[in-house]
Order: sequence, then C-alpha cells, then structure tokens
Amino acid sequence: MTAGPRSLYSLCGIRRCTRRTFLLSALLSLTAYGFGSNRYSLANSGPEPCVEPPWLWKTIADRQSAARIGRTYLDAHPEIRQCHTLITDIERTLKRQDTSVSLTANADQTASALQRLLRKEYERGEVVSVAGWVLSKTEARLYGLVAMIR
Amino acid sequence: MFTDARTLADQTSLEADLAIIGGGVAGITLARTLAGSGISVCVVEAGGLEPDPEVQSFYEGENTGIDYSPSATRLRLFGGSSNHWGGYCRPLDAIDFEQRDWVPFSGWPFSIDELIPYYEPAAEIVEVAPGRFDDREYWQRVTGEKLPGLATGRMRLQFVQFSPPTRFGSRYGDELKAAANTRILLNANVTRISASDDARGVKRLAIRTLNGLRHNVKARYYVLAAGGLENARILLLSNNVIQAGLGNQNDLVGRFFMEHPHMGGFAEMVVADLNRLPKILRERLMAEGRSAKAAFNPTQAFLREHRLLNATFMMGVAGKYPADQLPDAANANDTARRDMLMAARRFLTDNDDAVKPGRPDEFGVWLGIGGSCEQAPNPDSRVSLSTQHDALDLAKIKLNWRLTEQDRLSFYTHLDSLPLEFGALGIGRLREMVADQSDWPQPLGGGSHHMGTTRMSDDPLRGVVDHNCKVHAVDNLYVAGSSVFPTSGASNPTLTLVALTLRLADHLKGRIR
Repeated sequence: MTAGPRSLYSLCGIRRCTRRTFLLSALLSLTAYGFGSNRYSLANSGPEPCVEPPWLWKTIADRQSAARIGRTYLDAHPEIRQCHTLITDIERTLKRQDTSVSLTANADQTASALQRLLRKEYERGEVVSVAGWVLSKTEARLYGLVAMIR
Repeated sequence: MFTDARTLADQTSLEADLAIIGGGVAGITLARTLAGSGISVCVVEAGGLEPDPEVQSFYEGENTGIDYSPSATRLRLFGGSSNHWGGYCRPLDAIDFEQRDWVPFSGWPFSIDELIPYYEPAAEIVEVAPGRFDDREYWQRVTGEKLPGLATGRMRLQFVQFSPPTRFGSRYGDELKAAANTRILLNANVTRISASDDARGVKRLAIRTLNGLRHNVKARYYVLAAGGLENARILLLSNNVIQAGLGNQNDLVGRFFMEHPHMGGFAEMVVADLNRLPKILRERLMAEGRSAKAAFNPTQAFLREHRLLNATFMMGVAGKYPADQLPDAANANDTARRDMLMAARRFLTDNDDAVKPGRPDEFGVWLGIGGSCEQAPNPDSRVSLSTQHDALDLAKIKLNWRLTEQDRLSFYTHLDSLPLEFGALGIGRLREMVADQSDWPQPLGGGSHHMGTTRMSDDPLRGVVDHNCKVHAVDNLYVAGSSVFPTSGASNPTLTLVALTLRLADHLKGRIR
C-alpha cells in the first residue's frame, strides 16, 4: 500500500477526479482525522475509508497473510470492525505502555515500541484466540487493521 | 546364580534372608545394593531372560476405564519394563511431596530432602550421572547457546536427561549372577504371599511354573517389587487370612491408580528464526557424554497461586518450510502456519526483510508439542481383580483408570501458559488445536507409568505402606516401586523409584542384620 496522495485519489476515483474534488476530499480527510495528524494516508476498505498509520508497514511484514488472520479476528469481533476504533485502541494501548513513545515522530520507533508492547501483553496474558492462534490483543488488532485497509 | 524354576524338583523350598518378588528395575536395584552384604537374597521373577508371548500373556487383563492396555504397558521378563523404557529421567519436584490442600490425598510422609541423598546414586544406576536436571548454567555452557529466561512466572525450564536406556536385566544380570549371596529364580510365578494366621507376618511365597511345578520361598523379609499393577494384584490374590487381600484391611490396595496422562496434537508452534529457540529446547542434545532435552514445567509459585497439578511439556520440530516452496493451498494447516509465519515475521525475527529467511534454506518451522501431567489421587481409579482368569487359574486384573475434571482443567491452564511464554520472548506463535476444552485432547494415553496402587502414608487409613514402605500391620513385608507413590508429580517415575529403592535397601540392611 502506498502512502500519500495516491490514496487520496482513490477517494474520488483516480480517472474522474478533478482538481476541485481532489482538494475537497483532501480537506475533508484532514478535517475528519485532525489537521495535526496528516501523517496518515487513506485507503479504501469498503464503506469506511481507512487510515494507514505510518508505523503499520514497519510492523507488518506480509499484508495478505496478516489480512487473512485479521479477517478471522474481525469476524469474531464485529464490534471493533472500524479503522478508527482499531487505530485509536492500538495507539492508546501503546501510549499507556510507553508514555515516551511519539506516534508521529518516527515510524521505526513506534514499530519498535509496538513490538515491546506485544511482548508485554503476552507476558501479562492479555491475549485473544484467533482460529486457535493465541495472539496478543494488540497483535490481533494490527492484523484486523490490515484486513480493513487492504 | 540364575535358576530356572521349571528345572527344580517339584515342591522345592528355597530359603533366604530376603525374598524379592519381581526382577525389574526395583527388584534388581535392591538385589544389587545388597550384593556382598552377607544378606542372602532370592529374586523371584515370573519371566525368563528373553521375551515369551505365552509368559507375557499373563499381563493381559480387563480394562473398564480409559482405553489402556495392561499388557502392552509392562513386560514380564528379567529386567521388567526397563526392557522397553524410553529412558526419561528427572526427579520429582519439591512441591510434589507436599500436602497441598487443593490436591485430595496429597502429601508424602517425607519431603524431597529425604530422597535427595539417593537421587545421585540413582542417576548412576540409570547411567545419567551426574544429574544436571536444574543446572541451566551447565547446559548453556556445554551447548554454547544462551537459554531464554522465561518471562511470565508461569513456566520454568528444567532438563530431562536420557538414560541409554539402561536395560536392567542385561546391564546388571552378570553382576547378580556372580553375587554369591544372590539367587535369581526365573519363570517363577508368585501365586500367593502366604500370611501367618494372625496376618502380621508373611510365612512364604507360593510359586507355580507353567510346566506344572509348585515351589515355595521362605524368607525373613519380603519385598514386593512386581510393578504398579502386579503389586496390587498379588496382594489382592493373597487372601488366605484377610479375605480382602493382604494389606487390604482398609480397602486401599489397588485404589488410587495413577498414570501420567500423555497428550499430543493439542498444540503447535511456528518459529521464524530458530536462533531464538536454542537446540536443547527442540531436540535431544549430547554433551559430555550426557543426552538431555529441556522441558517446560510450571513454576511452583504458579502451581500454588492457581491451585494446579504439575505438568511437563516438550517440543520438537515437526516440519520445515523452505523459502522457495509455495504453500499447499489445499492444506489448511499448511496455509495457517505460513500465514502466521509471514504475518508475525517482524515480531519473530531480527531481520526486517519480510521474505528473507531466518536461515538460508527456510523461512520457518513448525513444532509439535507433547505434554504429560499429574493426575490427582483418586480412589475410584483402581486396579481390582477380574472375574476372568489366567492359565494358572488366577484372577486377572481389572483396570479402571479414571481422570477427573480437576486433572483436565489443570492441564489446559498449563497449555494456556505456553503461548504466553513464547510470545513474551518473541520466539514463536502457538496454535491450540483443541476446539473444546470440556474434553481431553485426543489421543489420550499414558506413559506406561503405573503408580499409587499401594500408596505410602503413615496413616493406615490413607496408605497401604508406611514411610519405610513396609505394609501396615505386616511386620516383614515391604513394597518397592512406583506403586508406593502417594502422588505422581509430572516426572517420569523411574529415577524416583530407583532412589526410593536405594532408601529401602538402607532400611533393610539395618533391619535384617
């Protein structure tokens, strides 16, 4: 998945998008997700446009595999089948674990902090079962997020 | 000296200071320990020096509980079941000896401290000495691999050491043959331990052979060492004075039969980088002449906190995924493992590249996990006499091995600990393959470990033998072997039963002289 304007184009359809609709889409998206959070790009995922946090692809190695696991997870947890909910939840959990982590400054740092978070969740027994796989809650949400973004 | 009971004149009467019923691990250990002591010993073994299907058939019996073969799990020949022993050695844990208020009928009459002096000599007998069962530093040093420190407080690493395995008959037979004070009577079936009229002593052993001869052995002291099933059977058959069987005045003989429930196929793990899983955790390693493998056992703190029974888990590589091989789309397990290896790759390797393998030739492996666990002592899990009879017209055993919900729930709690440990260390991801934890994983079997049927307690209402392994209220009859274990722990019983036998030998030396 590519970040940046290409994803924005997808909001209005890359062939028919006029300069006016593109700018409008961009403005709407920035409004919806906060002017200060333009670190995120958007992608199509059915009815709800989904945001790609920049740290996501620093964390997930293979989208297809992750998405397959993520779909199974979301099927069992339809109440969190929303990008915004998933991202907010992941970031809130991460901040709670590591107050020093900056979600905007450095995607690599965030990815490292996520890895540490996952290990801590296993250590604390904060896990869910996804088709038999015992996964940390945040790990399962990460895969769910991938499933929504693809 | 070896004597074939079939070659003696009919009605031969032999005498010794000590008669040992059974020439298996316990019987041979006891006889060896007393060799040269001046105490004359007669070992009465039902089998010969070689396996014989006709003789082995005497171990068949009726089974009314969990699917289990009374004959396939023990051997009736000199050396006993050591002839098919897998060689796993590890002492019991200290907590196994304790009276735990959440484990009914738990508590040995002594702590592990009583057995510690005997474990190392026992390790020598089974040829694994020196014992390094808890020596993490040692195994790190000799394998050259740093071992992970488990993070959750639930599990700990211990080390199973593997005996060659020692086949007691062939390994120690010549030594016993040369011992002037020892006679090994082969092909001699003990049909009854004949008690005195007041049942306070044993007068003699009644013996029959398959060629129709009857003999007897008289001794000052007797040790029943015929295995966890046969010990109970022989006592129950010995009912010339006490109708319920010798030592069975409190209806305890044969009850509390315990196995170590063994399971496989209940879980598997994928690992993307084998460098994170030291070899000794996944395969037997040979170092300085010793063979060992790491086992995962619950910490004693976790057992106490959650009021659980003990357990042991081990793992081994079951399959590898070469980097250039596409997944078999028709194989759901294959796809699931590959998906997890790919999705979690960055959590499981130090390599940021998604497709670059942890090793040059593969991008991951999957491991099978095996587990065995302690079962709580249960009076309804038992050996009794069947209405079926063997060729000597003696009642066969009727085995009713039972497990409880406590056993099962305890096992599943430990199973749930494994993915936490491996996840916390970034080693792998574990998949539990049991859809319904309201039943045991299948197949469910045992480890050919027969325990508890003549359990030890200083209270005659709770045990058949006292802390010296002497049968309550019978002055000159002792029991050796894992049938005296009041609780089983989750370690294979051989090392402990050898240690207990050495302790018994010390006691007998003091008493017989």
